[in-house]
Amino acid sequence: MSQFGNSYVELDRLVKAYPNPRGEATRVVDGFSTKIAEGEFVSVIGHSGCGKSTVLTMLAGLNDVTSGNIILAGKEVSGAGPDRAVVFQSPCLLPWMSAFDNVMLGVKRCYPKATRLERKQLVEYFLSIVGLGDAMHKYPKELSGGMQQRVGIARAIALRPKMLLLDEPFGKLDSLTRMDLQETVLNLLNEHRITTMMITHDVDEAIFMSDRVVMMTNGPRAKVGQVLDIPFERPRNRVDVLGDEMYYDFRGCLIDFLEGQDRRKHGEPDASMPEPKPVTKPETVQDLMLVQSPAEVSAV
Amino acid sequence: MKKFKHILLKTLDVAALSVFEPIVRLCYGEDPRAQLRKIGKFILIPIVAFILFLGVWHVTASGIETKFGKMPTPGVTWEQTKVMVGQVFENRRSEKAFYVEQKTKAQEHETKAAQYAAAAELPKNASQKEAFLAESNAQAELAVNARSATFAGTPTIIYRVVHSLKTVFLGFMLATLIALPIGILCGLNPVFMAAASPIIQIFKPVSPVAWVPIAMILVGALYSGSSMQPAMLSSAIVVAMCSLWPTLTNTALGVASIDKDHLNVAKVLRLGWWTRLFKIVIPSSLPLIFAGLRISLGVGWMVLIAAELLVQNPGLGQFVWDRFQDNSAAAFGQIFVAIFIIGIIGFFLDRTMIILQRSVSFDAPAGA
Amino acid sequence: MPAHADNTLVIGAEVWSPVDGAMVRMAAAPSIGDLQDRFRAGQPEGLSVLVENSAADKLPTLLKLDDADAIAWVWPVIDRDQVNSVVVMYFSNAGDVTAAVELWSGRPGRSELCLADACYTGLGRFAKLSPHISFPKGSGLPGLTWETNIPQVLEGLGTSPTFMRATGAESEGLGVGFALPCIAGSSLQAVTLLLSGTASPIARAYETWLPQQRGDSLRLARIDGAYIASPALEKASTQLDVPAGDTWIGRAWATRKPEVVCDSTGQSLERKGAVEDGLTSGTAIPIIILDDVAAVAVIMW
Repeated sequence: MSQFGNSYVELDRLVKAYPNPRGEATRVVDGFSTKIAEGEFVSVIGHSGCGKSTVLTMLAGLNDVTSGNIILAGKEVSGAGPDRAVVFQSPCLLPWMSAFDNVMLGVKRCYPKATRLERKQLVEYFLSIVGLGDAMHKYPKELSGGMQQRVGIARAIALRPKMLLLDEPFGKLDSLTRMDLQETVLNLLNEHRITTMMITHDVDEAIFMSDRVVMMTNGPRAKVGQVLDIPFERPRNRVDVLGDEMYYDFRGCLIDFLEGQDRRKHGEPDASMPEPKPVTKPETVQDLMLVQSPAEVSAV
Repeated sequence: MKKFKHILLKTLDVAALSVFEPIVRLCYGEDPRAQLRKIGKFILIPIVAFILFLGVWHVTASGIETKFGKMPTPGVTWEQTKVMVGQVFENRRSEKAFYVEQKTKAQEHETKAAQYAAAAELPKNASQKEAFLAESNAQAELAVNARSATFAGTPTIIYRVVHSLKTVFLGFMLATLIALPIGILCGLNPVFMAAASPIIQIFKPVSPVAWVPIAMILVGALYSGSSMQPAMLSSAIVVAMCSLWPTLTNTALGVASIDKDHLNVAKVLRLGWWTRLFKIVIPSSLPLIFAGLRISLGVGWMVLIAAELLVQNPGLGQFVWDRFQDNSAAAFGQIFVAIFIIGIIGFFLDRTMIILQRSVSFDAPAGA
Repeated sequence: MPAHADNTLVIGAEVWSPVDGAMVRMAAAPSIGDLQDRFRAGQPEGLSVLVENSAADKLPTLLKLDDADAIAWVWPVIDRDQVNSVVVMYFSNAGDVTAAVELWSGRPGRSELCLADACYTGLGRFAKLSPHISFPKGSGLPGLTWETNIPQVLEGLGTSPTFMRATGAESEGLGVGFALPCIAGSSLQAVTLLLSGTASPIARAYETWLPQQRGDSLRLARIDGAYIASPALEKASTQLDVPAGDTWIGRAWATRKPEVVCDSTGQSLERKGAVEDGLTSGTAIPIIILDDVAAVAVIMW
């Protein structure tokens, strides 16, 4: 794929296969490719179970890649590391530590040379920019779901990561809290330009937050179906985005895609609508063709 | 006032005594009917059940004749309790008297020593002087002996309880020191777990009684110190051998079943082994570790009585055995008293562990 | 049914070839008439400049001419490192029609095919959204063409799982699609999509021909095709192959250069049913990968 130039993040033909009971490999994700420019915000949208979280955990290094490459800032990625901070759907805070200590855990790791005071100030800064200045020393169980997720975001940003990975970060929140947090994250990213990949199934969230929405086909063998560019300018504000004449077209595009995937999933055995097969090289290519098969030679 | 009520309720909750909550609420006049109903259901009925149990006991025991005489009824048991309490005070009195007597004795000897020493100053012939000095020294020595003499009455029930508790905690500490690191290693490393598993499986079901001779022989062969009675050490070892398993398995389980999310945090941060152990692995498995410790202490207390009985460690177990050898109806009653003491102490140990367990469990709902 | 012939949007086709370093028009389907002149007039540098640019860049281009209500689609045929010919097709852009001609190509920093240029007629949201959409290898009609490197015929766009923009296509009346890969050596330069409704088709027939070994002889076989309002042609075309080098389609394969045929009777299409259904003209475009002609794309009207 290098034919179209290099990027900050390159996911090249990622495959995740699990052995099934019959001993064969089931490909959950089959050839997921995309490129992300530095500072870009890309959302991955798809039906639940389509493998979008698998892509993110592979990028995070928390899930082994069966085949394919991940390149971040010119270097091949292997294993998890603080250069790729993850925010999961559940906040994943350590319940035996206060919000402050949870963030401090990351700060200590990423600023080993900072003095005690500097670290303290850093933690306080990151907690305050997610709006938790007053609840720093509370324990997770004393915080609401939204506030816990704010701590999770602060902890991720505090790592000064090259890439921020959000795995349905607002999925468990009520819609008001969700909108609140979306804006918090956007404001944060306006300040600290971090390349971001977000997994979501919320169409409006994807449009409001991203520069680009990657739509995934239904699994198994899930991959990128199509990509939609969201050209709204930043900093964004919700009223302007909702008021833009393109907003409902983008929304329609995403919903059409997801519904199309649904139809594919449920309506496949419909005899009245046989699925047309694309023309490819014949299976027994050596027998049938003298000329070299195009698919073979074009494997570049 | 209100704040006090809150604190009181919270304390009851933490101590796992929320049964008494309605009483507190009733005192503060909070919905008296509901509280009374709760008191009836959860306090009155258990009391009635206990009284019923005493009745059945009384009737059954009265009908059983043994070679020690009648089987002790609740009444007899109560009488023997009073006797034992009396013995405690009696013992304390004689102990006091003993020390007073010793002190007087010592003072007498000291006076004599002084007198002899003074006599030795008067210039007479050398041999007489020497005799006086020798006598003075002998008196001084007698005085020292009298002061340092310890009371050697028969051990009272209090002494035995304290001794049993010391022994069980010694065994429990030993068990914890062995079980915790091994349990953590087992939980962290499946290979280590596989290696340790057969050993654990084989030794776990062994009866405490079987460990007794081994413990005695080994202590006899290897222990030459004097800071501790060998019997106590043997009992503690038996306790440890039997009570380390619940802690070990629970710790292994706790460590192995850490929330994947928390491990992911460690992975993303690339935390070092020790940081990961102390910041994530241990805190997150503490509730299960404490659950294991609680079971261990319970098992240890049960095992201890049998061990003391066999090893002749002067605790409650030996007390039961001594009374059994006594062959009297009164002694038979005292065995029953010992049973209650053992049960009640076991209950309090368990409660203590519950409180500890609750205080470390981070996901328990914030108090009432 | 032959009455539909008037509705086709293709006006004509030309083949340009390099002669002494300049692109010269070598063959043309007539009836283009003064359209060329109008295109020439509308393009200050002249159409030949456009053709030469396309040949130099090895990239297909589109030219919209508002005066003429028509567009010109310029398609270089690249053989190894040389552009051996350039096909120019003219499509009507007037009246109540639903159609789209799209050029998809790669963009730096992206792993997908993005819309490079397009001309939409009678389309609403489909036209508004497509510039923001891109397709990875293997997905959607452009991605599939990229993956297979073979021209793709797709009917029933509105219900096809292959066509990712199906819902939009369905509601806006697009029915048939033809996709051609433009390949230089072995790397994809661009994909052209010809999409139209069945009431006003861009052309009456789209076909993909592949070389196949049958017994001792190499033949060119029709693998896939779509026929709009041409039942006789469709019937005659389902099982079809020709010896390599035979007919205008075989010639396109053998000479590695595009063919344009046209006469008012339709005889030169050399196909049963063509005359009956009123088809008169055709273009055969070879798709060359490295040293071999991998496929021939055929458009008839």
